[in-house]
Amino acid sequence: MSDPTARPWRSPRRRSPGVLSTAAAALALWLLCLCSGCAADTDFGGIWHGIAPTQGPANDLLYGPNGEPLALELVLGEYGPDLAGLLRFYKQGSFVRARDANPPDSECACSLLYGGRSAGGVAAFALRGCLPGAATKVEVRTRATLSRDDLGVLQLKLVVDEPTSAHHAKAVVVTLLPQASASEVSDADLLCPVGPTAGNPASGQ
Amino acid sequence: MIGCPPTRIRRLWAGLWALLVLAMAQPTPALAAQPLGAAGPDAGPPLRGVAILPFKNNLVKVTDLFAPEKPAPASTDAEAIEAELLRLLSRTPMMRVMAAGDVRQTLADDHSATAQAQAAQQLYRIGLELYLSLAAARAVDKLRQATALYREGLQDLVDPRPYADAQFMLGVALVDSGQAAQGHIALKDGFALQPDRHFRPNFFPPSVAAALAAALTDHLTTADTLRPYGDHQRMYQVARRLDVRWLILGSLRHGNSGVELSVAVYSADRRLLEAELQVPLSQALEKLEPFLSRWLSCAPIEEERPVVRSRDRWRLDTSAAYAPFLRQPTRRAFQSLGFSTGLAHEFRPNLEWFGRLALHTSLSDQYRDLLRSFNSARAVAGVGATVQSGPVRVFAQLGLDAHLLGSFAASIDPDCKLFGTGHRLCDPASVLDLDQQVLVGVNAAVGTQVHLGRDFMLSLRVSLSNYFLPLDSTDRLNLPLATEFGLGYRL
Repeated sequence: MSDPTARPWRSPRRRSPGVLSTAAAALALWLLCLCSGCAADTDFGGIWHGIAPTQGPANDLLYGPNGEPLALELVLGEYGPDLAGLLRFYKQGSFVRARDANPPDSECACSLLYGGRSAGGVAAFALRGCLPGAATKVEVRTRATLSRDDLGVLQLKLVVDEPTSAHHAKAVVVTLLPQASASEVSDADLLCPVGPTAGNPASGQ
Repeated sequence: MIGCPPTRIRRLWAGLWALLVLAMAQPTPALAAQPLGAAGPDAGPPLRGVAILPFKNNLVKVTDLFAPEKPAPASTDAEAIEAELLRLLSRTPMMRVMAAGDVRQTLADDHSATAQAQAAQQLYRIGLELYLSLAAARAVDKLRQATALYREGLQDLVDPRPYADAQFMLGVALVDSGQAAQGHIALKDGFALQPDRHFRPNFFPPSVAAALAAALTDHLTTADTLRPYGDHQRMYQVARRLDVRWLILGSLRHGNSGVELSVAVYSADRRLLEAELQVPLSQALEKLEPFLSRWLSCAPIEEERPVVRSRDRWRLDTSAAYAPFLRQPTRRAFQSLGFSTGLAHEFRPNLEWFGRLALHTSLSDQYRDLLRSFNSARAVAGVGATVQSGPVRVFAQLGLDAHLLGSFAASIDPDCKLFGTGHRLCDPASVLDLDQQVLVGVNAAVGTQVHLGRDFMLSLRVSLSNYFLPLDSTDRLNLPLATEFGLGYRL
């Protein structure tokens, strides 16, 4: 019965609810609280920003073409125990000014998350693709974990998990700060063009 | 996801079918709720029920109390009056008259009253044995229980002698145990049951004999001849048991101008004496007809109209509805709320057809496996069986359910949830898309309506549907269990 030419469903967030839906939703609120719990799992959902450290002993994995710090943007959707999202890289200078005004290059600028899971305040997922810095021109598998430190600040740890690669076991820890909540994630935030894993997007070359 | 084993579902449906069949097999309940004496809907014009209770014959003398050889006073006068009343009332249109003999027989045929009488008889024998064993206090206890059972079973209208035996024995035991005042009352009640009771002389000690004579004297001088069988509350009980609206009460006694006749008409609807007549017996036959004419002219005939039954009437209700699916494709239950409105019409006693429309909004679950909230519309139509008792009406319904789903889509793939179902990371096989699909199945419901007054009522309905069409869509989304609560109106 569905129209095959219709645009595939994109996101439920901007559908304007009807009057009946609104009234029923209000009536349902109390019942929902009882039945399924009002507190959705939003530990990790939303948009997070962070800056990778300057290339050095603490960071031999993610950095700009001249070893300068690199900006990260993590967009996460959290659905119970499941996670989905993407990780985007920026040159720190343009990132600080305005992301949309100076979009990242299409090469090695974005990676989609795979196998995201969360439990007990810790989340884990995998990335597959290049990483600006040490693995700019090669495709590596990277494991990532998200957890909070003693002060409650979110820490992203990336570890290359590619035994055949020279970059195997290289790691970096990036502190993330919340930028937008899960309900504020828009379609534009979810764009992640995938191109050939060559070149260095951070340097623009 | 909440699941239901197939065997449990089959049992549920079997139970609902059985409930429907049982409800349809119930007799017409409205008859029990009609006013006394009113006829059923198929019995033609309503009849006004009236019962003539056996007249009390108080034509006894205290001096004959201990003279068992004296014959009991003739009952011919009382029987003649009863016969005349029966003749006069039987001529009255739309009147159902129950003669005194029919009253005795009707009450005697009541199995529960018979069982009560048997139990009372046992208690009386135990009380008698205790009294003869000089355990007067325990005897009083048993005899009180015996008389209470006789009274409850209306045995004074069937055969007053066993009841009177127990009552006299109770009075004797009370007097013998030093409770003279209570004994006097008990003995007086005994003479009210059987005024012509005689005792063997010198059988009782002098104190008891004196008490018996005093009680009879008291009864003959102070008994309420218009209420020979007790107060209005008891008369109402008698009328209910006989299923009549009026009772004709009467008694004979010696008065200043010879034998006097007292006749009264008790109304069970109004719970009072509607008419009274006290005349010398010699004038009784000529006074009875005018007396009855006066009473019948004032009898509330307008209340004889049959009760307007609920059949041939429409019922409309609007309810809030909570209708989650028992079988869902999501890992956590999603909730569905909305409104429904229904219309029902009773086309035969205890049978109705009904139709309902409902609009529901289903809200996303905790894990958002339901990709978005959606609206749905339901139409249910079928037949139902009803049972009504007083203000409460219970129904069981069976019908067809057509459920138009809105934009229903569900998936457990988080990429489908974040990026959309068209994204390359979203596995299409993980998406259940029932957008604008119509599910068709059977619906069974039970519920109740409580009349609040006038034509308004509270309505509660619980229903379950089992969809079987389309065949490939009902295995993951099915079994909506709806609870509807609202306000109704009889049109």
